[in-house]
Amino acid sequence: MTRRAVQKDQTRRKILDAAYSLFSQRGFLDVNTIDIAEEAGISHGALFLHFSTRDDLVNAVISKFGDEIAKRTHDLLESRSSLREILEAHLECIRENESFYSRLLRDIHSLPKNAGLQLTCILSAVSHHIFLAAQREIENGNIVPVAPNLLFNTWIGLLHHYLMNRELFVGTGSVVERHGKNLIDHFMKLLALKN
Amino acid sequence: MATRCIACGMPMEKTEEFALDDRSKNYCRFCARPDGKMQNFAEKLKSLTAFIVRTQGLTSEAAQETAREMMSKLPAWSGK
Repeated sequence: MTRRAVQKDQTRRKILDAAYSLFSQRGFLDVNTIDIAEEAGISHGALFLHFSTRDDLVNAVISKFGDEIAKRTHDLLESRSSLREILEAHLECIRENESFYSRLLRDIHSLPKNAGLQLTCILSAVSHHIFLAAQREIENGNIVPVAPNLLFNTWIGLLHHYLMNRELFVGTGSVVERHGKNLIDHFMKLLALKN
Repeated sequence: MATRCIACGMPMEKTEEFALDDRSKNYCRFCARPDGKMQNFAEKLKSLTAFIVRTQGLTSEAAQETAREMMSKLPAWSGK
């Protein structure tokens, strides 16, 4: 890579990191491109050399986040396979990005359509792992047979409700740290077969 | 260092994650046909859409739109 290309890559990364940080703190709707350029330490004009519109930048931030989540989930699952372990890995990934993810959930319907599609893509990667684990546990008689979509939606509905209303459940802290274990225990109890 | 499947984006590290357990393949076992060849665009779109409907309960239209979005970013399908 030429020196110029390396520099270009570094600036692009700086912009993405700055946007990620500001979106995490203030949400997607209250941050404009001037704020992001300032946070990244570049001129406002330079930002548009990398992203032609604000929507492009928003999509790129969500896309980078999605790629990292997919990679991280995969790594965390290397040595884990039970449904509980998958849910723990899922929560661990969210805890590392909790502010950003909660803001994304809250603002998603005001963002460009592509952002919503990207969120569904991220959920698709999670649903894949939950589906495989749940299938094994159903076959082994550990949990009740449940339709895969309802199993996933029950989990994600519960979790997203807590994340979207963080202030109500934890004030300024982390939902995952405060309630994560309880949510998993509760979910597993719902699925447990009565002996 | 994990490589990513060119057709679905799944990180591949373990040998059994590669098509036909062959580490020289750049696509994963989920994107391979029974004979080991990579699925084509229409097959992948169909299987991914069906998977999203099954695991998330979306309408087939919404699932297909999501599948297209996922595939648009992957080397095997860019420009389709």
